[in-house]
Amino acid sequence: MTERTNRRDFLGLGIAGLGTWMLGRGRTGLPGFGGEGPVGEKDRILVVLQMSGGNDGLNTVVPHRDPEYRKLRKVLGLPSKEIHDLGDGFGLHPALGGCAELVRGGRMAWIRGIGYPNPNRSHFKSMDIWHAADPTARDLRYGWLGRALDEIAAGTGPRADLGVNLAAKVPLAMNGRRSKPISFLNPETYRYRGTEKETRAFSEMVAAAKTAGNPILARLRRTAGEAVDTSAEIRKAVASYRTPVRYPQTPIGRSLRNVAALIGGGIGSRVFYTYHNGFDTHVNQPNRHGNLLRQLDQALTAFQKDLERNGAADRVVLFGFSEFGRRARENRSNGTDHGCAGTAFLLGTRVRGGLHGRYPSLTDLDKGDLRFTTDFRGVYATLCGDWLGLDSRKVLGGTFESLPLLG
Amino acid sequence: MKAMRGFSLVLGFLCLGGVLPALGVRQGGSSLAPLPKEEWTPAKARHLLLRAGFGGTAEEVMRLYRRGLEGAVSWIVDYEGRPAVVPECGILPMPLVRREVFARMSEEERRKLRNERRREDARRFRVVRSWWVDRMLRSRRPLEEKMTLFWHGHFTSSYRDVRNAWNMLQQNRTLREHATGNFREMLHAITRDPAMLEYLDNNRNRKGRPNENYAREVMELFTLGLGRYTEKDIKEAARAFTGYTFDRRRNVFVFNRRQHDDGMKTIFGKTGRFDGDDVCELLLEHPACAPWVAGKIFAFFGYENPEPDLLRELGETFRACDYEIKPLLRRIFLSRAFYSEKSVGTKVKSPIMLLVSTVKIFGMNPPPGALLVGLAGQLGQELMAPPNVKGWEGGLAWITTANLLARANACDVLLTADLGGGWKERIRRQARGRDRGFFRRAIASWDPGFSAAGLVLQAGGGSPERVLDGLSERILAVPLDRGARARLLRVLREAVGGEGPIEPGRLLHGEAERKLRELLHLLCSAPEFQLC
Repeated sequence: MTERTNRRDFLGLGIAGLGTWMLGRGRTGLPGFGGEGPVGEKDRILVVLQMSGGNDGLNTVVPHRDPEYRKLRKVLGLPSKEIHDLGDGFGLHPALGGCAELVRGGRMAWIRGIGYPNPNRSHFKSMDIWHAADPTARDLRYGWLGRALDEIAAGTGPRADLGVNLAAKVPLAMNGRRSKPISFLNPETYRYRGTEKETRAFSEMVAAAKTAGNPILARLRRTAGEAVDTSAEIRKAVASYRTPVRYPQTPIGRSLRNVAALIGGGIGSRVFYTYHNGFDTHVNQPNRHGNLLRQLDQALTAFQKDLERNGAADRVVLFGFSEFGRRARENRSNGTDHGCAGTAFLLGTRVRGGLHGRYPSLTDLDKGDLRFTTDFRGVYATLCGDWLGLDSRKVLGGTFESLPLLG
Repeated sequence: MKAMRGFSLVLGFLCLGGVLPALGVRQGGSSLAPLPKEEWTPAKARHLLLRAGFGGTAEEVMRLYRRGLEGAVSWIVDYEGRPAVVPECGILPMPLVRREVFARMSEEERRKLRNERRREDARRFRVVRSWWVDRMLRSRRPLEEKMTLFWHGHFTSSYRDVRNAWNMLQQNRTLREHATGNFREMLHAITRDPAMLEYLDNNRNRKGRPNENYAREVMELFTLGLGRYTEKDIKEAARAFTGYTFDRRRNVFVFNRRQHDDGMKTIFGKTGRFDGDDVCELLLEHPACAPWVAGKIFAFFGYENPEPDLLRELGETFRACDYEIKPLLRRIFLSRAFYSEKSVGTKVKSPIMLLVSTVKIFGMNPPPGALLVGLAGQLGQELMAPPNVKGWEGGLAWITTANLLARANACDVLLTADLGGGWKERIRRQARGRDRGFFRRAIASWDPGFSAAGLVLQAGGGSPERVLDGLSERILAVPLDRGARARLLRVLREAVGGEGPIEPGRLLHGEAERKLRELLHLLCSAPEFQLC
């Protein structure tokens, strides 16, 4: 049904919509697809996946042969025979079978013990810290991806600095000084709300306006023009995307399908932001965590398969993170409470597959929580510097050594 | 007739405009010099009502205009004579859990209780925010609410850290109580405000273990501005603020003498056994304080980065009346600078301003406050949960591509909430997940009592051109672009069935009403509408 509405609505835009779409393409001169020639840094794309709520790292990359793990997780401990073993006594959660295959195929890296100094156990504060890339969370105006997009703006094509956020609200991470992302949960709603005729009138009203002497009004007009432009473009890219790969009908499945569609449709953006929510498993963890990881597993495998099919795989890296891991010892409600160090992952053909980062000690705990062994800003530095080809010091406001995560 | 008088005044203004520069009278507006009475026009009254409040209908603008410049400013500033006509917020502090009861509980029961209390507090917080927006919509003291909003962005605290709806309400009341009172008293009051003590960690500021958070922000953001003090001043002031904390069970300020550092401190070159209130006085004596705060007030109502001369005058005015806020506001609202080209129509409406002023400009019955709280959140402004201690960045930071569309769509919600059939369906489709039920309930309970046809007829009727110009003048703070105007004229002609004067008979049927609403929605979607 949504498919049909989409198409009808797009066609409803008629000549005006098509006009802006063509105009957009002509003006930007988007690079072609199909992976001919070497992939330059300027063609590379970063997709970020936020696992909100605090993912239980200990039950994601599981030290299943460590007797300490058995002591801490008497009820929640995952049986070794169900774990997807990756050697050295570590393995992935039973629901992550697809991911285990990706690791073995050298397409997925898991980073253990990721965190930051002076950990904060509040969801909001810790999320702010990851977004701003600043453990003091003092200045929360701009985020690391927004600053990265500001840097991108200097060089490449006009759309390269346009972040795309697949949620209603703009996350701090994507907010730059100059670069502001476009945001939508559902491409269908990233649009002017009105009948087809009204939408056309809106597009034409915006297009008819001349640039004003008033600089603020001029900027408003420019932004309105871009909104009209990208709104039609994005809906077209998604509506016309055809793939034999079956994505799961879950929010994260739909989001990643949309990202693949936008990459395939040549929208030109280099940074995408997506969400997988609900990891705050204080109670009833086995079912909830299992379901969340299963959904993640299905969506990631579909996404990777799709990119490899359509030839964009070498240009894309997906980075998944959570604001913190959970308490080492399980609570008495069949769940876990807020903790510190956790796990993150990278996905893509250019990723150096395997397990990275030293695993935190299960005996030397900080108030019952795992101590971090890898500063997340090192991963950011790798993604900004080695992957996107930016000066990571400018983005992160400090020097962080990049990690050997990319091949 | 009265409109004609306004018109002739405009003509008078134009004539004077040609003479005054020749006489050497400064026209640029970079001074607090008063606006000559004869330059008072309905357009300036509209600007005053929009900036000092949340705007109003054409009728309300004309009523304000007829008071004359000084009368209008008095009506805005001296609001104490009028009741606010909004009942007090009904929530109470969370009931206490007796310590013995808590002690007897199992860990499981405690966790459950904590979760229940957190949920209940979040519910109360929703009530508090809705109540505040309700005040913005209904209060007959628009400046009181606008200043409360300003102070909320200045003396900011966030529910995310405070996690106590009652204390957020107390802070809001404190900001309102002193909104146009005395800055000195306000600074002392906010220094003792439980929400602020929590938000900036002064409740953790103890003798021997100082926490500098409040000391730093009170200087950097609340009184002096960056670079007017040393790190040493902050360290010493932090010691003076030790022991300023609050009772978590009663939610009231307490001075904990045992945690207070009673030693000698040196701040701004002065030495003594200062406590927190002494620091407030030292800040108020500091030469940077009055210009910093007065400049921020001017930037909120007038324009950003006021000229150095103007800033100096603002500071002198504020200092001369010993930090009384009202005389400063009066001077700003009477000044030529406030009505200058640099000021009129140059500010981007904040989301809450956009929504409240849309309701007011169209003269709709106030919607439930919760609806606007939710919509403002979608547009990036969570009231009582700003992004950081600096409050909202404001200006063009509000504007993104998605945000512009979302702003237009939010106005569509307001403009079409009462239309049946497919329109309501559209609203439902727009809202997703948890929002869906919330929007449905909020919209179902609201009758805007608004007629687009009525608005068109009030705009004077006549040819489509005249009607559109009349509407634009009432709705927009800056003139509508000519190209956009031509496109909208097509929409209007279609709505009223062609050329010729627009008469009531052509408007008063459902189809015309719907098409006129589409026209208004387009006007509200224009870049011009984002400005105030």
